[in-house]
Amino acid sequence: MESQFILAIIILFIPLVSFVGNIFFGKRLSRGGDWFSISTVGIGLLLSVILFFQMIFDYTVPEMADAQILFNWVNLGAFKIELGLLVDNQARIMLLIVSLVSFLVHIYSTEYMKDDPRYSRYFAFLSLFTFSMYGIVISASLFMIYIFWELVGLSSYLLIGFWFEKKSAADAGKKAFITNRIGDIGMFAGIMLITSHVGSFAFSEIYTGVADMNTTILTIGGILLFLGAVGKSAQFPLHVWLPDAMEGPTPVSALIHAATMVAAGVYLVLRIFPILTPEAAMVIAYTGGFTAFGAAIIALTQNDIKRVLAYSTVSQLGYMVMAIGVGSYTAGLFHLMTHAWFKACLFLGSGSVIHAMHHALHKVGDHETDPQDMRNMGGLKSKMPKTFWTFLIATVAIAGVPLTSGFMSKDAILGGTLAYAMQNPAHLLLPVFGFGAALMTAFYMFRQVFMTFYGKPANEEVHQNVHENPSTMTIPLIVLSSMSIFVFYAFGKGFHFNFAHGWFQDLVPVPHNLTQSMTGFLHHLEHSIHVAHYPAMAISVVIAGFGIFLAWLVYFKKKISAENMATKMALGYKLSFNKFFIDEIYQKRIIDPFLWLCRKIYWFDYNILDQKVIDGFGRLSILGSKVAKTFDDVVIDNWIVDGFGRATLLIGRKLRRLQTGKLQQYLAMAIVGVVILAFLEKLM
Amino acid sequence: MFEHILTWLVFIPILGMGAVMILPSKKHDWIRWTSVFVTAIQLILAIALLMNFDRSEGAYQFMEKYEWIKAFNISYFVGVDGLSMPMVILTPLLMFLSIFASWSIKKKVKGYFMMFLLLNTGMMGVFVSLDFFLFYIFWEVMLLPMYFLIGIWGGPKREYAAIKFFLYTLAGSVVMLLAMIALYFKTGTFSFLEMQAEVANFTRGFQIIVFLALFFGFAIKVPIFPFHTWLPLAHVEAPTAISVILAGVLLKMGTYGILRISYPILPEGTVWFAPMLAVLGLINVIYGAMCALAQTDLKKLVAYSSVNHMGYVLLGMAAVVGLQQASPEAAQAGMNGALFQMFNHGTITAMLFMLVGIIYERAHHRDIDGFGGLASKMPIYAGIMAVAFFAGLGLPGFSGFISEAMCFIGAFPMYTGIVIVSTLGILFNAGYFLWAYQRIFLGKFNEKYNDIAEIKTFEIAYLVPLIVVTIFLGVYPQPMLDLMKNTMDSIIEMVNNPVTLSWLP
Repeated sequence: MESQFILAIIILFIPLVSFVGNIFFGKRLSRGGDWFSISTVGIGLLLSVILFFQMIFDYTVPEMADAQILFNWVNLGAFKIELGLLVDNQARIMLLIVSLVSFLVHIYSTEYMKDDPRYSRYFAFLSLFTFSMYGIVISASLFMIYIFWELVGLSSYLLIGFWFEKKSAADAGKKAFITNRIGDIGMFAGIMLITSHVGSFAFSEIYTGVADMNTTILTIGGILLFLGAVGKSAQFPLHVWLPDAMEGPTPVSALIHAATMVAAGVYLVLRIFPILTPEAAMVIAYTGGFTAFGAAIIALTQNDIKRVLAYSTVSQLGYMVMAIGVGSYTAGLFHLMTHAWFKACLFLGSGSVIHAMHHALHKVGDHETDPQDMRNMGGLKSKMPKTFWTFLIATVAIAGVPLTSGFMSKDAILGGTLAYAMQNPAHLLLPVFGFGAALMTAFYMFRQVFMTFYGKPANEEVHQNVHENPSTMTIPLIVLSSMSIFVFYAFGKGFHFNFAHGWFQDLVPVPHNLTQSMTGFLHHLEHSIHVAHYPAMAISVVIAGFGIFLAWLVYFKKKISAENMATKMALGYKLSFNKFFIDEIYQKRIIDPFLWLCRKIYWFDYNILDQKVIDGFGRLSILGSKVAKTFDDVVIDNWIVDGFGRATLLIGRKLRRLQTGKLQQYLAMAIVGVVILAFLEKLM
Repeated sequence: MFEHILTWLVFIPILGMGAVMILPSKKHDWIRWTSVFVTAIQLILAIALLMNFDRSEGAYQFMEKYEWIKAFNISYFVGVDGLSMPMVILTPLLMFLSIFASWSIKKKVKGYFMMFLLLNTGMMGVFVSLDFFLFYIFWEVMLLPMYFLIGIWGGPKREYAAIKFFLYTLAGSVVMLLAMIALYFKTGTFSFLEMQAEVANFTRGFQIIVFLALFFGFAIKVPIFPFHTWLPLAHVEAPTAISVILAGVLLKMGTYGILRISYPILPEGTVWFAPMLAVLGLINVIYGAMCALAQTDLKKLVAYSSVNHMGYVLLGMAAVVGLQQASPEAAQAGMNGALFQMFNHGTITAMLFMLVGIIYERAHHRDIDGFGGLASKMPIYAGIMAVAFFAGLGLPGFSGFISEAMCFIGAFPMYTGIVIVSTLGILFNAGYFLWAYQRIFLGKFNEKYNDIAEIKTFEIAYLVPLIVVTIFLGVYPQPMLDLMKNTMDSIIEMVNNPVTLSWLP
């Protein structure tokens, strides 16, 4: 086995060791066993870095056959389930993302979760999550992805509901798992559809095997598989679990609901990209675009610091999905990576603020005020400079300001959508979604910065007590925010500076083994992409600037009153603030009627089927036996059997008359008898 | 010693029953430990059998045949193959562990364990019989102790539940008896092997009628909708260990019977019925899950989850016709998945019922809404329950996942629409387990249970083997599949190409 596979196996399984260790022995270890989890994740990070730099120095795009090993997990002769490792460039990049964010979140959590009574269990769950996520990343088969996909769902359930005493947290965990399962059903159906035609679960077989599949079935298969991503990557209409997932501890939000787990969906779309038809891709593009736009609208009006970020995450995931849908494969993964860094930074930054607010409120004896509501903050810039600066850098990056990573990746996506619309003007809506969401992103992110860090503090006393957090929390912020600077992505082979076309574009090209129709489609698109590139860049810069300016006017200069705007656009505000009432609609129109139906079915099962029908047979036979008994008593016994008796008696009584006791009479009878016998004898 | 190992496996519990009978009825611990000892020996024998079972072989092994009633050509004929082997392991395993779950039985201990051991013999007999008459005898033998176990040691409505169970199953048996006699008059034998050899003489119409008659008997046992309503009732009333056996082993006798008797002997009937089997599977999956969602009684919820989970078995079994439709891999996936699911459901549901029993002993009720926040008071119990629930909802890493997936994958090419709708079952599955979990364990702690005791080491001890088996097979399913795959291959072959093979050993 080549070294890359050995490293990948170690990376995969080492967090499992710390999960098992901490679940069983964590409480008995010093510091609740956090060092155990941290060191395993640290080793994983180290090995991921090695794999990453191996890629940078090799600077080649490996053939799939060289990057994978497969084995039969289940083998029945004709039926096989293949599992295996696929360590291509995409996987190496993802491994680095997952391990670095995970490592930093582990470090950060040692402070954030310090006083939690279930401290070691928390670290065990983080390790479990890391294990599951690694599994998705290095899967060489659809079946293996599905396995780890579900395990990620489990880890997410455990971590979102970590503070399960709170009903809202328990609800959110359950909601996440079940919403995800809806997508998973689609995904599983897609897996069955594709593999029943191809006869294998391995990507390498599937990519070539779909060539002779009916296009319509392939399109359906692609969309079904994509449903898995709709769940995990919180795309409309299954996005509802993600904002609720903010009930989990904030470092968890950073790790799994911003940087990695939700990225798994996008990663799945990348993995199935070679089997997508242009029609399936179009569905994907619109789902992504719609989600990007709609979630951004909701983010505009939220007051909870984490909820803004949650909807922002939904929106940014929409970007990535849209990117892949319009054929900008590279841009999709690129944005996944850049977003992972700055969104993790933003979440951990918000966690830092919440942590500080929580302690300050605690100190002044205020248990009522919500430490997550931005309206209770303000002016924190001076109190928490490290948090502020790192938060600002990440905000600038997500807004798409030049010289940040976010600018580079978002620009590529917007260029892609623009080109897609240029190819066919009917798809104008996609770039509108894209640019519209970009505008709103710049606005709501700076709104957040201004509300949290600038202006007058909402409560002086609390403000006095706010302090910057210790370095275990701020160092991760510094590392992550620095990853948002363009220099990391602006070099090519041999570390030569190249702003427009860096290593990422070279090492993660669009795969060449696409479906025939997709190859043709992308070929046509190529020209438009070149044309669209610079206009898209220009528009996105202007739009980002405008969004920031607007936020500055409203929330910093207060030239425009936010309240006035809200009352003027009452309906729009209401829809946005209440998240388009989607949760309520689901509850009222789907979940409640469904549970009602379940209860009715059970009622039928017991009262009708069991008590009436089945017991009916019982009662019927009791009735039957009663009829039989009556028949038996009256007809058989009384009439027939006793009838014989009565008849005998009757005859006896009659015959008694013959027994008179007179000798002459007897003699006469005897003579008559003899005569009759003699006569009979003659006759014979 | 292996010459008579099956006979030993079947009749050791009867010996144990005799031993218990002569013990003084006051000595509860003697009775219990005698039962433990007897079933332990049985389990060891079963493991020894497993070790010596030739996995590369699909045919019967360890056969024993003695003439019994010569006039009717009835013999004592036993043997195991890849179909019965998983059940022959599962039964002693669950029997052994449920004795520990019976520790809290205080009423008429002697009678309880005697009945318990008799039940054991009945079940083992069913799984090793190769003679229909013998099979039928064991099938009925098992019924009797079950009736008493529910009727005497059960809950408040125990008598109603026991009678219902008894009569219902008996109704099925009677129809099965008719089918058996029909087969006997057609073939002049009760031996499964000899019956299979006569397949060519069975007309299609005969096969269909006999299939339906047998199916009626087996469907009640599985139970298949609409014959399932005795199950929730029996479970609610039965003591914990009996629920474990009922769901863990007894239900499998239904699907086992179909696979052992109907499939090879009535291939045309099977092919004719397979689509119906898929439809019934779908109904079991969805209907069972929806009924489970409506439950407020935890034990009833688990009972309906059995209806739901046996639906997957039916789906997998319906895939047997895949061979005719040019997808042999689908037939393999479905059939092996079905048998694997039978085993896995046995271990997982056993865990669930044991856990329900443990909380019932402490709280004296099973009302899901009557708890709340118990995870903070009984973290270990909550953790083990989480393991069982996640195993039950088919999470990868647990054995149930792989078998359910195989059932789906196998049925998919033939019954695409049905399978896609029934995948909703795994969603509802997650729904009822997680919702119940939340109501019992999460949220604000219900102060009423301040004194509730954490699960004891003794209780953990009898759960751990099941957890280990479930996780081991979830991670590494191949050993179990190796055990069954050759036999399943030959059953698939028998159903699809009945005339090409000759059966007699």
